[in-house]
Amino acid sequence: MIYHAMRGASKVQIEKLRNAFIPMSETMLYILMSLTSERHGYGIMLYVKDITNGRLSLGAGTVYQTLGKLEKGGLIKQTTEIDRKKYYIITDVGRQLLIEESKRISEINRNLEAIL
Amino acid sequence: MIKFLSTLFHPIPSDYEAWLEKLSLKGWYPKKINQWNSLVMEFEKSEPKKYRYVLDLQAAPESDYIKIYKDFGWEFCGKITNAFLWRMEYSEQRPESFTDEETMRERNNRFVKSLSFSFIFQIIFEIAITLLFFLYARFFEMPALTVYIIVLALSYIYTIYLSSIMLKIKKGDKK
Repeated sequence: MIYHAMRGASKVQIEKLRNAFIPMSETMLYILMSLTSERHGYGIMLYVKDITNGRLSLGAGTVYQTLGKLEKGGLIKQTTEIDRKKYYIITDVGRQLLIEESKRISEINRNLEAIL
Repeated sequence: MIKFLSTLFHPIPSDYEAWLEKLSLKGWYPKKINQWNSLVMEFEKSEPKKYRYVLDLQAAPESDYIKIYKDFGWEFCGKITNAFLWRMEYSEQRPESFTDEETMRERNNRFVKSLSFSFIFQIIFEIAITLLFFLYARFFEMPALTVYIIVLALSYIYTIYLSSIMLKIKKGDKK
């Protein structure tokens, strides 16, 4: 099922997406994060590599497959296609889930720092 | 050089990739990739190079599938039925197309799924010929009966082979 706009997404639908996507893998989280600006597959890899100081170098198959899953869930949407290059951007639903993930990770971080 | 039944000898995708990589280190490259490659594959000799091969099963790829791979530096070798064969030359770090466990597992599952179709047909075929055997065995003459038993045995061996391959690919998930 595709949930494009958050306005059209009911609480039940958001709950379904939450079950399907949260907790998010590191790969997916970074790809979703990178799509807060419009990007294409290869651009996503470059951006993620850059912000992780070269630690996370995503492969072509991984990027392609993850984009497919995110689009199917309605967390991202295609903007344009130029020379067979598809550009994507995060949707409102995607942004909402990203904020929820951010809160969850901050909580982990806080708890860890209190212990260590 | 011609290799027969390459997918039968290297049914696990990562093994198939490693096999092609080994051949390229000796300077052997597949001449043409096509749907008959699982039966006959022709290789030609040239300079030895270090190539990382990747096999990716995509029944209905999106319009940007090929472009994404090419952007990342992969060279398209061809398609063996629905499986896209990619390669990239490298010197030090071996390039990967699937860089996390989840997408690697999905890649492998696509192969298991495609095998499961042949598996179901195989089981139906086997039940049918086993039933026929028990119903009509007494009417068969001697040479025909022997042939029938051989076919039956081969069919059972093939079933066991198929299921072991599916299990192996599943187990190879963590690689």
